[in-house]
Amino acid sequence: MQLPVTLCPIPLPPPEQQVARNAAFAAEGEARNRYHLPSGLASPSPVGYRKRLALTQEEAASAAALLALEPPSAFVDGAAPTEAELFEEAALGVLSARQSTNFRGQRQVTLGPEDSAAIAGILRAAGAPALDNARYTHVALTRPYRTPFTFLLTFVGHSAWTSPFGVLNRAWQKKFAHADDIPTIGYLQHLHVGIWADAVERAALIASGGARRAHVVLAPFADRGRQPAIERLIGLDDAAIAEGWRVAFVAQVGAVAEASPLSPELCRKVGANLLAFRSERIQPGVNAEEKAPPQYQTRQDMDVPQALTEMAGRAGYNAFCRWTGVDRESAKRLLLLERIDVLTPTGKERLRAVRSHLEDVTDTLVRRLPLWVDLPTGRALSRNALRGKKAFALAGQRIYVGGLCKPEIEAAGLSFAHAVRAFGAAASRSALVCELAGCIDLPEGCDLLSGICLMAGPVNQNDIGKSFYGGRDLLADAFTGRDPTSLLVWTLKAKTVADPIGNEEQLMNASQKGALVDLRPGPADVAALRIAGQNIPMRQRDGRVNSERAFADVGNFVRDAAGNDIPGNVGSAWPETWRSERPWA
Amino acid sequence: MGVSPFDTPPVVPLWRTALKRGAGGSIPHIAATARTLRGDPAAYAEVCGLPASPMLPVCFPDMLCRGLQLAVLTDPAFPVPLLGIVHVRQRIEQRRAIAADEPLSGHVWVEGHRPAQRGGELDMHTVVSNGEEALWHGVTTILSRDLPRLPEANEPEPKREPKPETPFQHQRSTAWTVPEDLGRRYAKVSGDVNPIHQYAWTAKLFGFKRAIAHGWWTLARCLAEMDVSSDTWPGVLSVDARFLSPVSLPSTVWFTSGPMDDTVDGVTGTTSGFALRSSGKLALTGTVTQTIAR
Repeated sequence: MQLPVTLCPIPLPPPEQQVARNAAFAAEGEARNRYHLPSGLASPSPVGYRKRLALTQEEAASAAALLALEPPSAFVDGAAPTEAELFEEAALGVLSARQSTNFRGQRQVTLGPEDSAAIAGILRAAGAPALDNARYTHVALTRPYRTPFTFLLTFVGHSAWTSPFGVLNRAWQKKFAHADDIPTIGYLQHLHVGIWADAVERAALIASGGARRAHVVLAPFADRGRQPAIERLIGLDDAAIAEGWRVAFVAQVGAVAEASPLSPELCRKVGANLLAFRSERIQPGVNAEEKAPPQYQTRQDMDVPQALTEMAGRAGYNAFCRWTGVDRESAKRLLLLERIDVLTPTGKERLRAVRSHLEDVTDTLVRRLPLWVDLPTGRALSRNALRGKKAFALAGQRIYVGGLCKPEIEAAGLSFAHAVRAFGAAASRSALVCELAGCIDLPEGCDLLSGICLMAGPVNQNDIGKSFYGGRDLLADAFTGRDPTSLLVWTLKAKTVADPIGNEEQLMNASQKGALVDLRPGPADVAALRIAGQNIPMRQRDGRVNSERAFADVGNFVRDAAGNDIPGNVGSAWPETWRSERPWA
Repeated sequence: MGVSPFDTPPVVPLWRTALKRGAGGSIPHIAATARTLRGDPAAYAEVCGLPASPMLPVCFPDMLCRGLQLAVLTDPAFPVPLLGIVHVRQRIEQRRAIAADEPLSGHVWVEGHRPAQRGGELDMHTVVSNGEEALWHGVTTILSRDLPRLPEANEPEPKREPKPETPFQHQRSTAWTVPEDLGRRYAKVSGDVNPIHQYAWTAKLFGFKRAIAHGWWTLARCLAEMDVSSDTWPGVLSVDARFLSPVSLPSTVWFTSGPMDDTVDGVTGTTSGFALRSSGKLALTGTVTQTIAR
C-alpha cells in the first residue's frame, strides 16, 4: 500500500545567500532579545537546543525508508531493552513528536513482557490485531486538548446579551463533560495522537539501532471511550479518568527478524536530527520583523522543488493508507489536500485570499469579545487574538491545506475520529519529508535547506468563523460540493537560516510561556515504567531527575561562533549504572 | 599531643561544638582513632543522587569518621573555636574501590597551621584503612579567622579580579535544583546538624540569609553528576576541590565538567575538571583524576 519515498536534495542559493543564524550571547550590558543565544537551559527535557546535521544522499536514501515503514508481522526473541534505549525511544515519541508535545495532554505507561502478553490478550479479545512476544508495550494516554488558547475560546461566539450565561455554560461543559468550543479543537487531540503514533513507529527503530520495531494498534481506540481492562493493567486511577484521560493507542515493541533499513550509526544521526527539527515560521525577506538581523531580511533565491513537494504528498498518502487500511486510490480521494504554490500568480492570489479570510475572522472575533471579560483584563484577550494574525500569515513557497470530508469518511466505513488521527499522521509524515530533505548535503554555514511549519491555528481560526460567524471552510473553494473540514496547514520553506533561537526558547524555557508545542517536560513528567504493579516515573530517582539530552553523543548542540556552549544545554548523562539497567530483566 | 582511641567513632553533641572555645596558639598533634567504622551507604547514596552500589561512595568514608573529626576538633588542646570555621578545600585519594562490607578502621589527626589571606588554614587528615593498608585519605582544609593570617594580608583586601573560566571543554553542562529540605535530609544520614544547614531561620542566627547546603553534599552530588564512583573506577581516584561560596537552599545550581588531559605525571589516567555555580558565582570547582596505578 505504501510507496517508496525519495528524498530530493534542495538546490542551494547563490553563495552570498548561504547564511546561517549565527546567534551569539548578549554582550555584558546588552539587552537580550530573541536573536541572542539563551543564557542557559535548566530543563529535564531530552531535547535541548540542537542543530541539524548534514546527511549524505546515500544516508538520505536509507532514511527515506522511515517514510514508508510497514508494521512488523512478527516479533522474534531479542535482548531486553536497556533503560537508556527506553529513554531515547520516549525522547523521540511522547516527548518530542512534532506538534504532539503538549504534555498536558499526553502520557505514556510502558509495560514489561508479562503485562505485554496480558495486553496482547486484551487486544485480541477486542478483535484488534496483536503480536506475540513483545518485549514491552507502550500504552499511550490522551486527554482533551486544553491550552490558554482554548481558555480564550470560552469567551468567543456569544451574543451580547446572553454572554455571561453562555460563557458559564461553556466553561461547565468543558470542565465536566470535556466538551469543545469548536469542532477542530476536539480534532486537535486526535491529530496529536496520530502524529504521536506515527512517530512511535520510527522511534522504536531508531532508538534500538534498528533491532526493534513497534506494532502500533491505533484503530480501536478512537471512538471507544473507556477501556477498563487496559486501564486496570496500567493503574489508571479514577482522578485521571475524571480528568478525561483515555487510552489513545497501544504500541507493542519487539525484536524483528528483518534487517533494518538504517545502520545503527545512521539511526543515531537521524535521531539527533529529529530532535533538532522545529517549526520554521520565518521566510527570509518575507515575514521577518524589522529588527531582525540581516540574514532574515534578504530573500533567498531557492525553492522547494516540485519533486519534493510531490514526495511530501506521497508520504502523506502513505501514512493515511497505513493507519486507515484503505487502498491508495481511496486515500487520494478521501484525503483532501489543497496545494498552494506561492511563487505562482495563482498561488499568490490564493494565499492572499486565505490570509484575508483569516484576518476577517480575527477582526470579527475581537469586535464581538464580551467587554465584561476583555476590559477587566486590560484587553489581554483581544490583544492575544490579534497576535494570532501574524502566526496565520502563512509564509512559505509551498503550502498544503489539508482536511477530510466527514460524510465521505463515514461512507467509506471509517470512524471520523480515527480518520482524523490518520490525517495527523499523514500531515506530519509529509512534513518530515521536507525536513529530512533539508539536511541533504547541508553545507557549512547553513542551518538547513528546507523546513516546515505545521499548524492547526489557521484552521482553528477558520473554524471559529464557521461555527460562530457563518463562515465557510478553508477548503470549500478547492473542493466545491464536498463539505470539507480543514484540519491542518503545513508550509514548506526552502531557506538556509533557521528561525530565531528565541522561538525555540519559548518551547523549552519554563519561565516563558509556550501555548502549543511544549518541549519542557522531562521523562518523569509524561512517561512511566510499570514495574511490579507500580508506575515508576521515568528518570526520577534518588532526588535526581533527567538531565541527559537524548542522542547527545552525536553532539549537535547549538553553540556560539567560538564554540561556547549554552550553559546547561549539553546536559549530563544519567549514571551508567542506571542507564544500563534492564527494567524487566 | 594526644591520641584518643575509640572502638567506634563517638557521638559528639552539638553543644560541645557550639561552645568550643579556643585558647589560641599553634595547633598540636591531636588524633583520634576508631577500630570499627559503621554507616549506611545506601541512605547516603540516595540523598546524594548516587546509584546504589556494593561499593562505598567516594565521599562516604569521610562521613564514617565524622565522630572522630569532631572528637579532634573539640579536644581541649585544639586551640580554635569551631563557630565560624569554613571548609575551603578538600582533597581525597582513594587507593582502590572499597566494598561496603569491608571491615574498616579510621584515623583522624590535625597538626599545625599556615597563614593565609583571610585567616589561618589547617589540614585535618582522615585515613580509612582495612587493618593492612590505607585505602582512603582525605585532607580537609579549614579556614579560621582566629588563626594568624599572612602579614601582608592585614592590609584591606584588594578588589578581586573576576575568576577565570574553568579550563575544560564541557562534556556535561546541566542545572539542577537543590531543594529547601536538603540540609535536613543530609543531616539525617550524616549526623551533621549544624544549624546553618537546617532552616532559613536557624541559618539567619549565624549570619546567613538562607540555609546553605553542606559542602560535603555539594561535592558528593557533583561527583554523582560526573558518574564518578567506585563502581565505574576501581583504580586510584583523586579528588581536589575548592569551596568558593555557599549554595543557598533552595536554589538552582549550574554544573559543568569535562576532560582536562589524558596523562597524569606520565601515568595512564584521566583528569576531569568540574565547576558548580550558584547565584551567578562559582561555588565549587575541582578536578577528579583516575589513574590505573601510581
